[in-house]
Amino acid sequence: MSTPQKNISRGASTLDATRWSNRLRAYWQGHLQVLVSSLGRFSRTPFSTAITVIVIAIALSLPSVFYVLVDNVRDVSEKFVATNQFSVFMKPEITDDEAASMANRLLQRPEIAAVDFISKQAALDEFRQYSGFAGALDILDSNPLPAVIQLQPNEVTVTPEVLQALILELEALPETGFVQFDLDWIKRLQAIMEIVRTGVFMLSVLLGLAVIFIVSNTIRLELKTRRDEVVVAKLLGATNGFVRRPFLYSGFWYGFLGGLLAWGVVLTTLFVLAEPVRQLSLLYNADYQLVSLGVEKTLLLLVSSSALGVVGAWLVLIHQLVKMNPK
Amino acid sequence: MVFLTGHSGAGKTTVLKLAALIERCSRGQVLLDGENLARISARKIPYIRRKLGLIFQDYRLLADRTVFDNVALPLVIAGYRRREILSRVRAALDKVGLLAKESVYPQMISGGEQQRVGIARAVVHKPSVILADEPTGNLDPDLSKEIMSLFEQFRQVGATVLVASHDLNLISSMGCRLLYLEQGTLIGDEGHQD
Repeated sequence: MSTPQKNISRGASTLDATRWSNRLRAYWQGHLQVLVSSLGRFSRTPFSTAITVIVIAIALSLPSVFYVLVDNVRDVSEKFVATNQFSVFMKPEITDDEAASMANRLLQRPEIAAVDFISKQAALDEFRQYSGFAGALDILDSNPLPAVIQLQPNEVTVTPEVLQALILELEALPETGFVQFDLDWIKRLQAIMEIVRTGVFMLSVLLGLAVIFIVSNTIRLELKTRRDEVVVAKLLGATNGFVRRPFLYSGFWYGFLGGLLAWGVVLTTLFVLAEPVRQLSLLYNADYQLVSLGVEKTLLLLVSSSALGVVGAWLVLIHQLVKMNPK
Repeated sequence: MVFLTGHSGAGKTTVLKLAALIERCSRGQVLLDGENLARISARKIPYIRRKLGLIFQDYRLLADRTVFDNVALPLVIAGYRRREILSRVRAALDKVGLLAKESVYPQMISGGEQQRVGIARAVVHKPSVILADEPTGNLDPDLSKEIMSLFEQFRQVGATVLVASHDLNLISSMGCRLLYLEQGTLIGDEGHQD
C-alpha cells in the first residue's frame, strides 16, 4: 500500500532537485553574463574607462614597485652578509699546528663552506711582501704575527642571525685572539630597510584606500547615468542583489584591470633597472639579478586590486541603491 | 478586465502604485492574491512585483537595449535559463506583432510599437495581474484601440487586467466593468457582472 506513495514522493523530490539545479545553473549563467556584459560596457566608453584604470594602476604600482625594490635590497644585503668572508686571528702563543687543527674542526661545521688557513710564517711572508717593513721585521728575533683562519660562510644556510651566533661562539674559544668582521653596517642597513618597509606599508594602505575611493566615485557616476535602468529593473521585480550585480562586477573589472596594468608597470620598471643594477653589481664583483614579482605575488596583487574594486563599488551601492526607488 | 477612471488627481495612479508597492499604504489594507500588501516587508517587494505585469504611459523602455533585451528583462530578473528566455520572448513579441523588430532599439520604432514592446515585457513572464497606467495616453485613437484589443486577448486567456484611463469614450466602448474615482474615493461602479 505504501509503495506507490513512496514513488510519488521520490518523483517529487527529483523534480525539486532538477528545478533547483536549473535555478542554480541559471544563476551562474546570469553571473557570467553580467561579468561579460560589464566588461562589454567598458568598451563603449573606452576613454573614461582607460582614465580610471590608469589612475588605479598608478596608485597600485607605486607601492608595488617600492615593495619589489625593498625586497631586492633585503635579498642583496642577506647575500652580502652570507658571502662575506671573515677572519679569526689566533692568539700569538698558539702554534701553527694547533691553529691548523682548529681550522680542520671548523671546516666540519655545516655553517662554513670553506676555510683558508694562513700560518704564522705565511702571514709574515705576506706582511714582508706588501707592507714595505721588510727591514724592520728582520730585526725581530721571533715572529710576532698570529696565525689566521679565513672562513667562508655557507651562503645557502647562513642568515645574519646564525652568522652572528657563530662569531660570538668563535670569539669565546680559548685559541681565538679576535674575530674581524664588520656586521654593524649590515645591521644599520637592515634597520633602515625596516623603516622603509614600514613606510611602504603605510603607503600601500593609503593608496589602497585611494583605489577604493576612485572606484567608488566612478561607480557613483555610472549609477547616476544608469538610474533609469535601476528603476525599471526594480519595477520589474529585481532584488537589490540583482541590481547591484553589474556595478559590483564593474568595480571588480576596474580593480582587476588596474592591477594588471600595475603589474605591467612593475615589470617595465624592473626591466629598465636590470642593466644599471647589473653594472653596479659587477663593480662589486658579483652578478646580481633583480628579483621580480613571482607568481604568488602577482596573484596577490591581482586579487587584492580586484577586491579593492569590489569594496569601492560596494561602499557606494549600499547607501545609494536603496534610495533609488521607482516613483 | 476592469477600468479605473476619474479626473486627473482622482487617485487612479495611486491605486496602481499601491498594488505595485511603488507606494506603501499608511492606513487600511491592499489585498493582492490574498496577501495583505501593507504587511509585506521591503525584502519581499521584488517577489510580489514578479507576479504583476506593469504597463506605463511613457513605456519605460531601456534605450540602450534592443527590443528583445527589453522584453527579456523580467525573465532575466526572475532567473530563467537562456533557452527558455529565447522562446518566451519570441512568443510575447509574436503576440504583439513585433517579432521582426526584435533586434532594433526602442528609439527606432514608433510610439505605438514602443507601447506594444512595453506590453510584451509586461506579459512575457505570464503574470496573473496586469496593471496599466494610462497605456494609451500618448497614442492616437486607432493605436489606442489596437492596444485595448491586446488587453482583451489577455483577459480571454485568464489574466486580470486593471487599466487606469481617463479616455471615457474608449473605455466605455469596451463593455467592461468601470470604476469611477474622485478625490481618492470610489463614486461609481458600472457593469459589475457578478
